[in-house]
Amino acid sequence: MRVVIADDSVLFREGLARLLAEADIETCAMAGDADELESVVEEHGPDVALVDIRMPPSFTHEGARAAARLRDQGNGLGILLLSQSLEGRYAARLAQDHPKGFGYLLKDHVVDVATLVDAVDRVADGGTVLDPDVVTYLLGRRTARDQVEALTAREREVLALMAEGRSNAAIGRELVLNERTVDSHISSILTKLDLLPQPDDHRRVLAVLAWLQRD
Amino acid sequence: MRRRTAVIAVSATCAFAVAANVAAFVFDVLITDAGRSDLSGFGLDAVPFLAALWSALIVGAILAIRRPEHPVGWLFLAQGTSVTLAGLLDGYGAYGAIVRDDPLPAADLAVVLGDSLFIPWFVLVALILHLTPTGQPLSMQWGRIAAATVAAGSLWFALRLVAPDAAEPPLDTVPNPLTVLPAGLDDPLRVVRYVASFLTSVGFIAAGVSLLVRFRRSTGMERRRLLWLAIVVVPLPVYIAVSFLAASGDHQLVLSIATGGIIALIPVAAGLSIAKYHLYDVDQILSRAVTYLLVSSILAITYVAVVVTVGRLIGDRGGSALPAVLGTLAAVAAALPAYRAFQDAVDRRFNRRRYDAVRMVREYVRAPTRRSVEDVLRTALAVPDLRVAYWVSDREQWVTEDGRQVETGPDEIEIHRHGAPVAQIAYDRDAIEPDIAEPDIAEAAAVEATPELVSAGLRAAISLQLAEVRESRRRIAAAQLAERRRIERDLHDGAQQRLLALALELQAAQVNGSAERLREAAATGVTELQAAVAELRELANGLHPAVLSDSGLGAALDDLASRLPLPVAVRATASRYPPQIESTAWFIACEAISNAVKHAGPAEIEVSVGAMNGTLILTVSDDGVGDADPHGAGLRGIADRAEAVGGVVTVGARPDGGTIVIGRLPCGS
Repeated sequence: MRVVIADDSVLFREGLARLLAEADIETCAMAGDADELESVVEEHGPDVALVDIRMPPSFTHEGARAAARLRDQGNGLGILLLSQSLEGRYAARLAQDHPKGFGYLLKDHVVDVATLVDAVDRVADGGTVLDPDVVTYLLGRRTARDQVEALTAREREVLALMAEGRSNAAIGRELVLNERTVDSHISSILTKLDLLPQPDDHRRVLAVLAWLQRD
Repeated sequence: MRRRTAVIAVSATCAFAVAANVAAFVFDVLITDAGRSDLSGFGLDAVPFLAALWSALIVGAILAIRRPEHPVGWLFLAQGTSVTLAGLLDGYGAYGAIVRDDPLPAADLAVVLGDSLFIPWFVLVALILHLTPTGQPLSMQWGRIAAATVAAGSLWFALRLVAPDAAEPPLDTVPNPLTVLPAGLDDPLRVVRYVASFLTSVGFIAAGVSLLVRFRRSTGMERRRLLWLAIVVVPLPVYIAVSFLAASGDHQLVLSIATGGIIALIPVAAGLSIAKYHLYDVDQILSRAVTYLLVSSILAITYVAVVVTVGRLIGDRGGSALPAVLGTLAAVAAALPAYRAFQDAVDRRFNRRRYDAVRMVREYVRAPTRRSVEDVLRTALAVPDLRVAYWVSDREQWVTEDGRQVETGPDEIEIHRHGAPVAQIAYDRDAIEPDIAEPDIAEAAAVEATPELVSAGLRAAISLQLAEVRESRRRIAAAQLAERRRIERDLHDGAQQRLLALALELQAAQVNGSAERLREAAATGVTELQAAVAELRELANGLHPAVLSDSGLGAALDDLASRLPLPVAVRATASRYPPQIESTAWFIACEAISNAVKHAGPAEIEVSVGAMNGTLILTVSDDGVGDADPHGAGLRGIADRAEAVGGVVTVGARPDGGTIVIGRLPCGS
């Protein structure tokens, strides 16, 4: 597994690289801004790019835009966006726009090595990763709340993990359930939320996110 | 007629006039030298005639050359020539027929002709009044009146030429050579002559009336051109009365002033009407003159009536002062109502627009509606783009009613009350029909609106203050937002990154698990944590230093001074003030110091804090390059902060070139 890191803070990217190294993930290059990111990706062809969403010069969404450009080149690069602050709506929209091989994590959670390594792996495999805090935010929105509250506590946990982009197997592992139980929870949730069953995980994430995002 | 011919004719006429004037003067010198100065025509009383003939000639010349097809120019030339000729003939006649022992040829004829030439003046002036400014009489009817006047004048002139008593004193000693008719016809002809002279005078007055009628009917440019003539024509009857009285009473000076006056004034007025038709106040002068004339008459009549009636009632008691006193009182009592009534009546006749405009405004002032006074003036004056600006004296600014500042031009109408400016009325005069909204009407309407303008001005002052408060509030909010962004960036780039990196480092060490690696991470961790704490402390200090709350302004300023790279002299006591005042003063001091350091490059800064009569006075002065901009973002920001707690900030220059910022904040002690 080879990654590149783009972040304007030297302290942070050095620290992140050391942590990844301890987890046997090789950081082949680091970048301080969006332009540099694009050139190191071209040069090294990594599996995943870990990109700070906010970078110079404008300190708005430079990182996210650069990541979108890299994705559009279609070389199968996984993108894991890192953010210092929670921008729930924006993150969910990004995930909807680019569900394959896309992740959004708060920097607070990057520090947890297990979450970090799991996210890098899933993005590299073409999966979707949405930070649990973003999902919590989406579930707490007024438009979703009533229907979400109609779910059982277990169903809510399953829904949150679905929204984070986990597969049925991963959900089962996380909640210590067998896959059949997970399946039945999922079909119950979909019925209660008036959602149609989807053939694969991507479409399921999309449907759930679209449902959570509706106004 | 081609212009070339016109120029030749005009030049010839003027040359003749000059020659005739010179010749008349020569005859006058000869007469005076011969010891007959009683026959001299060149006294003080000749001045109005000279003015008359030259004004007529000059205006006539200009008109005839510019518009040869227009009869009025030629009529003026003829009028000027007739006056010139009269003077020449009088001089030649007096010298040739009386002074010389052997009479000059046709001198007696010259006397008769010279003394009768005043009749053509009347006729020519009447024609000019009929034909100005179009060159056509006002209507067929008026044309017939003009023709009748010419006929009557001609008859009068002809009969006078053949009358035995044609010449006036002192030339009446010269016998009339034209007395060809039998003596028996003298008396009937005299009657006819008087009738003809009366009809000519009536025709003359009718010509004046025709001009006034034309003036009343006219609009726009034509009206403007006629204004001047109308002014001259209004007192026409007075002129005629005076000249007849003067002629019968043998007051030569009065006669010449009266007749010469009118003959001079008409061309002058016509000339002005050509050159200066944009003079605005003529309407007003006209209506005022008429009003005063009428009011004076009413007052005189009142006075006389009361004096006579009271005199009769109390009988002749040896010249009692009572009738005079009562008469005066009655006249005084009648003065103001009469003036208002007449002004209204005159305006209604002569100046309908003014009358309507003033009446509409007066109605509004009497019973104000929800409309703004600006709106009422717009309607009253029919000027949709009219703008009213109000003077806010304590700001020395012109503002609109809703408090926006406006630039004012120099030629706007300014309304005053008790000598102080109240409001300015502005509109685009070039875009307005000249007839509408003349400045005198606008001014009259605005003066009428003064009470409402004053109260709208007060509202404008309040609106201005509100706008300033809103603006200041907006700036404070914007400054706070910028401040928050700065803090957020400082936190994000500083302590937050440091702590995150530390967390990553510790996590990495934990994953690694070796004792060596963990010890190393702990050591790095302590250093990084200390740095993060220091950064957070600096940040907090910049917001509101703990020393300010704990020990007050003096201590906080000392602390600040110790951390600045240049000498800062602080003079402050240990006194404490309300927290909001301390923090505002602190903010002002920080901003003023940072402003000085950033822009002025000072060698030293002095800060002093003191309180007097419930006001905290903070002074920050530097010895830098000066030239601080009080409206720059930094100084504007501290002024806003000061105003938010009811204080003020003034920015001034030090005599040695530096800047001094003084904040005065109410501190209640």
